Amino acid sequence: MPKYRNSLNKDGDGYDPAMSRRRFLVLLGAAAGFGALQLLGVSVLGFLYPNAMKIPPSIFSIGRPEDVLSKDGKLFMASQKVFIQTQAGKVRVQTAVCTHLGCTVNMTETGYKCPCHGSVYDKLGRNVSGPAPRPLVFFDVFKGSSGDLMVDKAKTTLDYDTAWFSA
Amino acid sequence: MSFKGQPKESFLAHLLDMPRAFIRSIFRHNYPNNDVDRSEIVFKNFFLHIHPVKCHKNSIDPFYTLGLGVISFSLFVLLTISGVVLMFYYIPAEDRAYEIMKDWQDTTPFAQMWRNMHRWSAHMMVLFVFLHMSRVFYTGSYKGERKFNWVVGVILMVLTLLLSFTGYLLPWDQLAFWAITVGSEIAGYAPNIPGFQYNINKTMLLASTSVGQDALIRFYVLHVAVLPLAATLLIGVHFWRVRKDGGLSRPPDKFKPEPYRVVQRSDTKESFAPGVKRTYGLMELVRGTCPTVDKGPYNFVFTWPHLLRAELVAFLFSTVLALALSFINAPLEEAADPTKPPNPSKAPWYFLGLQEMVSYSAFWGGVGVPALMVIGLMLVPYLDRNPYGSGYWFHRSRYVAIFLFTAFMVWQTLFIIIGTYFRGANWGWIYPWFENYARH
Repeated sequence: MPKYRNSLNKDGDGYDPAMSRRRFLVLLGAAAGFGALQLLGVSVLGFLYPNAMKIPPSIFSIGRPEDVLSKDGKLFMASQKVFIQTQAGKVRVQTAVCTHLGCTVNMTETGYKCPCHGSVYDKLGRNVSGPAPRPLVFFDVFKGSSGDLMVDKAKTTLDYDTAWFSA
Repeated sequence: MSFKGQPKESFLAHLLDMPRAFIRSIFRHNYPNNDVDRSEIVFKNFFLHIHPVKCHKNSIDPFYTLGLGVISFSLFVLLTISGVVLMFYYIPAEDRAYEIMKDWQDTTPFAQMWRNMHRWSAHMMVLFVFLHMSRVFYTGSYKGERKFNWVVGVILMVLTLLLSFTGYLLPWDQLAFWAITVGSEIAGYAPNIPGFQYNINKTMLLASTSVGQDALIRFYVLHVAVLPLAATLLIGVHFWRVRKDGGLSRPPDKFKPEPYRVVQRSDTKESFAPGVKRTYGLMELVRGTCPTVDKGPYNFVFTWPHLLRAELVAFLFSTVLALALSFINAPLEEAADPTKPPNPSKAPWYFLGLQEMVSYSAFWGGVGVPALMVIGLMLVPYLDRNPYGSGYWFHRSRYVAIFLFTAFMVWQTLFIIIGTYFRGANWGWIYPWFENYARH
């Protein structure tokens, strides 16, 4: 800015301020406008991120222990997207949601394969090829107060030996 | 009081003259069959006034532009019309959306035609936007003052893709459900803001941790309001900048008519051109080097009819294309099944390159490389230092730029072809001539 933009720039006592009164007020106004805009942005972003969301409960039942443990093999439980594996009176529950981008994996002879982007897992759910970054987790199985076998999706483990539950 | 020599008209004469006067009050100019009225119609008509009164012959050369920009815009108009028609029936509800798609097939007259038109026009718009971008690149039209308009164009390309993406989620079939699932998971790979329990990018799209009713209404609002409004605004800016840059890019005229000599008086510094008999208002400021008075700019023709005729041809081409494609039924998969995706689960063709990239790495294929591609495309006019070649197809001095852009486009096309034809069950590699393949 030129030193003397206009005659009002100069104080009566000859003192020349570093910033004119006009420029100071303009900056103040711009800062206030910018702040108001931030408030608008934050309110819109906050509005789009709800505090309470419809999240399905993490604990669900897989049936009576005598029904579940009596048969051997691996079953896909569609409603919860998990595989229930039973073997000699033990049960373990593994997620069927691909760790890559959330598609449901298919069971194959060698393990699991994802139909969306070709992630391949072995029989224990360890990612062997494709884009999957992590193995499929096991969920904690416990006996609920009703006597049903319950699964808690919030408690996960990758240890396929300790994932077994026996009644 | 009556004017001298002009008797006051009788009321009957006034009534008889009313139809003419009424039409005259709407169209405040004569039929454009002479140069003055051809100027006036473009000047005074709201719908035409984004055009200049005259445009360069090069701008309407079908072998220079191939009409690609106008075709893209025409498809956008057709999509807006067919989209609004479909909105009269569509309900963005989890349990209703798919039923309505089925109703459109069976019980609602012409609904399937409108849906087909909407879906195929969207595919065509994506295609023509890519072709238009290639045309602009190969003719070097992003140089000089047109730099930022290229950036606006890249944003419009991204908006076109987002409009397509949010659009094919609305039928709530298997494609829709798993596309939102994958799309929001990709968004979840973008960094979160610390302190938020759930990834903020994913949550802002879904309003939940999994895909459901809350996600559907968000994508609906994005598709029918937010994105079309943004696109309309930017299309306006895009056109306005083309206009202010003096029309489309073109090579410099080989022949330049001698400019009028402008005389400046030494005492008053007043400039005037000899031979000027009329007074002129300031109509418009355009870039140029010589004032040409009493004579139009060299090689310029009137917008009415020449440019408007060219635009009409492009619009009719788009309409015929959309109507012809509306005889092919738009794809509709099984109703959304949140437990299991189809196998293989494939996006529409324009996202299969992205899906192929995502099948190597979620972050790099879904977030990193696409972001770099968009930023890279936006930076093209600022990185390209070659001042030559604007207005020529494949100018020889631009061989490096042309090679790089072609390599980029071929790379993406190859990924799309691989994703479409060479991927089968579980996204495994297949050869289309040996195996059947699923495609949309």
